[in-house]
Amino acid sequence: MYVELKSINKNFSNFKASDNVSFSIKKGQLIGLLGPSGSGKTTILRMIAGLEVPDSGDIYINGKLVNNIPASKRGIGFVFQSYALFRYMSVFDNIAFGLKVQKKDSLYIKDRVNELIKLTGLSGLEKRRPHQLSGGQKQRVAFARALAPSPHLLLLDEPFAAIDAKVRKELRSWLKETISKVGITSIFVTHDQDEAVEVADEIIITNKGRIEQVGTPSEIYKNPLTPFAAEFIGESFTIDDYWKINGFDKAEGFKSAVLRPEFVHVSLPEQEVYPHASQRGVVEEVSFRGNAFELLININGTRLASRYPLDNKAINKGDEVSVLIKRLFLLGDNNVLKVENNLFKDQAIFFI
Amino acid sequence: MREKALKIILIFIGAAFIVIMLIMPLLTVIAYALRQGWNTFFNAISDPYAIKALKLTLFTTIISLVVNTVFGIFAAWAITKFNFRAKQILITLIDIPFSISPIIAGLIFIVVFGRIGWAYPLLEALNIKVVFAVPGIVLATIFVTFPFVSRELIPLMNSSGSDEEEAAALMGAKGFYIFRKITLPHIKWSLLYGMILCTARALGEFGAVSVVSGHLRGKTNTLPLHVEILYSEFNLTAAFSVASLLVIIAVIILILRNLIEYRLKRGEND
Amino acid sequence: MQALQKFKGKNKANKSIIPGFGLSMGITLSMLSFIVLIPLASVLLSLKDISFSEFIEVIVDRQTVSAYKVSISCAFIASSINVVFGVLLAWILTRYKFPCKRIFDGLIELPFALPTAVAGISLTTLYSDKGWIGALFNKIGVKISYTKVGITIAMIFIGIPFVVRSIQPILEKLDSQYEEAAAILGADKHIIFLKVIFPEILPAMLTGFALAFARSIGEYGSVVFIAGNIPYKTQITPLIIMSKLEQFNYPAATSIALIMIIFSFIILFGINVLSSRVNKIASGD
Repeated sequence: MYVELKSINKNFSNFKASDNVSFSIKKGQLIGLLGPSGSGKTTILRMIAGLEVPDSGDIYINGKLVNNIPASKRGIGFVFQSYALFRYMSVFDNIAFGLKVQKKDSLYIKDRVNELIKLTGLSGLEKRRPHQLSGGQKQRVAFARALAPSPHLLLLDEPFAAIDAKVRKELRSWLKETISKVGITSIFVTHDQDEAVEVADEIIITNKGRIEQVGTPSEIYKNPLTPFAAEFIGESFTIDDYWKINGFDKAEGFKSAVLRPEFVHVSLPEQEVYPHASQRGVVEEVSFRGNAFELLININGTRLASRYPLDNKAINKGDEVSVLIKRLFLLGDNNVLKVENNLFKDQAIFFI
Repeated sequence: MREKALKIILIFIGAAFIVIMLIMPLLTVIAYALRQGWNTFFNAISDPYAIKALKLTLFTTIISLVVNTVFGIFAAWAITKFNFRAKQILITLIDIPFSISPIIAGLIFIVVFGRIGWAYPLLEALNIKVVFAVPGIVLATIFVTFPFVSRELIPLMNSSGSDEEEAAALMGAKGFYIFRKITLPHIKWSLLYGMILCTARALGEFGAVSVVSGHLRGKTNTLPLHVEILYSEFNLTAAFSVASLLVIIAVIILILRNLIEYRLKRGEND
Repeated sequence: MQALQKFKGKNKANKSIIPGFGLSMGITLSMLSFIVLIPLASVLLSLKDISFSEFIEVIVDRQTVSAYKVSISCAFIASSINVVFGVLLAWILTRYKFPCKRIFDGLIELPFALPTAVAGISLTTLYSDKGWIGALFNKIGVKISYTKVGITIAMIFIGIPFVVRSIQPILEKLDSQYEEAAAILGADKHIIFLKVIFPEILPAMLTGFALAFARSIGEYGSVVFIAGNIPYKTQITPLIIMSKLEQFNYPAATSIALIMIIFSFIILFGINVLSSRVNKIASGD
């Protein structure tokens, strides 16, 4: 294990930012710390960096206990959410800063900075000041600056938060590629699940200071372990009286259920294939979502959303439709139960 | 039409106020300084007592400037780069000298170092004179100019946050290196601005210095005190001649101040 | 995240990664203590030689009370006049274009830059019977120098920059779009000023008033010459303290000083409360 946190607790006066947090990260992986605002993800990152000190618990980096090692000696690179570029220095001097502090010789510094400028595609911008750069370029400089002293671990705090939605997608794949090219173990913090799913090798979901689940994006998506993970990851729709749906029975201790659109099959009544397993609902809203329609359907008072392919026969508001629900994630207090429609015999496999 | 008339009236009233309240007093100084010709003027300002007063004023100003600049930088660093309880109280305490009458600023040093002061026996033993001597003048001047530099730096350093300093520290940079390379370039104009305000006040301080100086000609007289003495001796021309020196310095400071203010405003729009 | 930021504020400082907390805090606190706090506290210490009844006797002495009255009434009138002219000057400097505007704007700060003693002797001469302005008033039988009118004028002089500089930034932030919007809705100029602009600048006017008032009460250099120091008539409080000091009557001087210090702390507190409101407006919250 390259980075390991053991029973970390951290309080900010009455606010529990980390509640018995433990997890470990393998070398060379790109990890996404995902959670809503105030879930404690940034605090975890800052404690690994040494910017905050945990109240209790141990942090190991590369097998070494770092609790008492100052941030600057931990061998980490840190990319700030605001980038924190030195506004009175050129791009070159920003990237060179860490090396100058380490008193490396100027020839080495020049080579190393040029190498990073090439890696990050900043050639030609060396003399610019931060205020003359676009958001994406600033991020690249911050990234290069963090990498310059050759850290063993790279930490990124909401690396895409300050960037236009348009450029963000492009930068995500760029960052993922570049990190794998450099081969550095990295942890980034995000509140955006798409970002985490797309970029991270593994996701750590945080909520209210606790770790909800650790796993690859598809693992978490397919088998959420906690109600929070089930609701937070993927497109989901929570319904309360799930036992009214054909094919599902009430399970003791599970009060509601999460429904994923891909497990809902909508057809016109005349095309209904599994009448026992389906039920009728009324379309309340049809909205165009680019690659499909999204339908809002009312089944005897229970509302749910579903996708409907563009090339199927058109459906309008007020139409009656047949709805087949194939799988639900039932939410308990602290656990999730995956249940299949018991009237739906066709054991078709659904991919995500 | 009515609006244009209103505009002209308002500008006229404002201009009249500025001319009567601000420009005329300046002109009075110059007119009285020169009313007996250039010779009298030069005699007054080259009088040995005037020169000594000028020297003491400059000495006092430079020391106050250095002390308050050092204080201002450290105080702004402590207040803006760290979180601690009672921060607001500390800021308010630093501002106290602004809200206190200069007379009281002088009085408090008499209460400490004067014949009735608790530190007097100690000073007596060490044979140091503070009150009615140069150290008292310097202390009183430092007191009245105490908040000037920190007051300019704190809001600026607060609004620019600590991310850059944190980033630099994370890479292992030391405190003074961080200040010099990252903080100073950012605050240099505000620092200069605060230093100029400090200089203006230190040069011209009258009330506080008047209390602690004892008015010993040639020893504890600053320029403003010298002006007062000449004036109270009804030597108006000499008083105004020396005052005109201070006016010239004030006008230079005013110009510098406006230039820097202009720079600061432009910097905001960058 | 905001909640988290707020809580971070209460976290212990020595955990910050930025170096220099101990050094900078040490220097700050020790200089603050030696230069400001200990000397100020010594005022209380020095009052141990005087009994409570003597203290009361000194501070309610007839001559002293009349000095409070002169100080407070003149400072109040001067600051009120300054609020009127301060709004007017801030208004023309932010809204109109006219020749010499930049020079005028710069001159507002003159009372900060000009040594107070110079301002004092200059105002006294200007408004004396033989001065350029004093002579005009003398013809109609009005004396300015060595009267309360003179004191008020000196206080107007030193107070004006506080008021203008409090109001100016607010007027600059209040961009004309705001007023244009009101004008499009059909409001006439007076209504716009009263209903839109005035409420926005009111806290700044009060702050400016309080700053000018505090400065006027404590001011010595520019007021002392024009006041003339006539007991019961034109003696201001700082002058009373000064004359007690010259008579080496330290207990009396410190007693009155204590009253003034308490008074300035009350104003300082008021200003802090007001300016936190002004800052909220200026930052657009």
